[in-house]
Amino acid sequence: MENKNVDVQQELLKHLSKANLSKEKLSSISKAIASENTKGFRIIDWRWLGTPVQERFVLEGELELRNTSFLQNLYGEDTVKEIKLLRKGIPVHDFFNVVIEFENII
Amino acid sequence: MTSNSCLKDQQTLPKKGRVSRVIQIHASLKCNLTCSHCYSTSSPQHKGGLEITKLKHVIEQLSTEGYNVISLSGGEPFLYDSIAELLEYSKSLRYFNSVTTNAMLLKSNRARQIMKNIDLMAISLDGKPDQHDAIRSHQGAFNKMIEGVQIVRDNVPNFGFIHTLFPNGWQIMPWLTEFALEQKAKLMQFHPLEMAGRGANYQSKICFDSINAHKIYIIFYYLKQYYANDILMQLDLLHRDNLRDNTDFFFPEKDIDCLDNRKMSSLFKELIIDEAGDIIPISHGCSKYFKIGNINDDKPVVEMIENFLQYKMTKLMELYNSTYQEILADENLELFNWSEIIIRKSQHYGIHTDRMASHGSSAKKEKIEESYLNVDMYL
Repeated sequence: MENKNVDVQQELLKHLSKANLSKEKLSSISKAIASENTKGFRIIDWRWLGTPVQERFVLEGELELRNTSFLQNLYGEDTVKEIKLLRKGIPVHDFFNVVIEFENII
Repeated sequence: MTSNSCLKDQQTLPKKGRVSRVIQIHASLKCNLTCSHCYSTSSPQHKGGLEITKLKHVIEQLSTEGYNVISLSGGEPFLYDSIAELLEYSKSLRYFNSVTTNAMLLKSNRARQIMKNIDLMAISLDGKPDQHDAIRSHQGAFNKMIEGVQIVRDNVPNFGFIHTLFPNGWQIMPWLTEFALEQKAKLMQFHPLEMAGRGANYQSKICFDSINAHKIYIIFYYLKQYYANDILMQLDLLHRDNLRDNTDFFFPEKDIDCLDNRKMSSLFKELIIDEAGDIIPISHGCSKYFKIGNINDDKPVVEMIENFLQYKMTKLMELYNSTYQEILADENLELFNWSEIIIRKSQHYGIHTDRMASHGSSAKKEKIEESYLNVDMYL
């Protein structure tokens, strides 16, 4: 197992172990996951930015080219600071690599 | 990501796109262990098992109805006297054979012979060694299981682990997944503790609150994404939004009307044959009100199904619909185990006497059968 994997998992566990994580916060994440499941967005990595306070959250994933509703939903999300799209796929460019940066989500 | 380590042997798993139609068989509740969370209350005290001739006859009929997977559970399946004969026969009918085991009884030549007819083994894993041993009430159970995993790896095309989740189980999910990967497993399934059988004893001690359920859901999603190329993962928890957006999930109502042109397996994607030989829908523990028949019944399975459709199907749809509506209406119930909820609700149907018409040559006869009445829903 790569060390990086373990680090990320430890970070995630640490984050979820925080006593001040509200049910509402967790619920919103679960809801987002449930909707992503049906919209063809596949998360491949995430990371927090900011020391000591985590100020931004970066989500990287792959999105099927035909799936535009996921992006449309993001446009109305106030916490989204930046979206980077890179068209990918071999031999046919059939998906977007998507990097989304959120702020003010804690 | 570990994208380079793709599953190379995935062609030996049920083929991608293949629709699994499962017969889950609890041939015996005899087990070498007495696990504290066992939903079927299996233990060494149980004796006997289903009669193999009857069982073979039923799965032969069900194969023509579109069923293609035998999932053998228990009890510990390797303690079922006729396991070898059953799996050999189901293999000859081209079933995909899956067996859920504690992997502690695999050293014998008999076990190795049996494994020749197994396509997939799901091995119970309850946590790190101490936790596994404590839940299994057996010192050294973990080490014996590890020895069994080695044997499985050498004798069975695919294997995976199945873990019963307790409320704080999210903390150990990464460890379990990495353990499964280290053992070269291809499947990792997480199943929330069911308050049934001996598992019900936990009811007064622990509580699956929504915060822990969310944490389980989030960690699982992360792990599933992270190891997407390495291992197939399953969590038996569903988000309400997925149910809302997918009405066909809870029941293919439209299939009922055109069943004449379709096979029975399109209606019941999973059938259960329990330790009493009863054939039931949904899952183990379903109220016997919804019993389709029994392997010892002296009539064809198709006839049992026709009877069921005629006399019980409306009630079953009622159960599905009321469960579906309740979940959507309950704002606090965001994550849930669909099967557990519907099984629990099925118990609201109590015993009464029902008249069921028999079919075929004795169409004019009616017989009184033990049946069950919904006692809660109509009071």
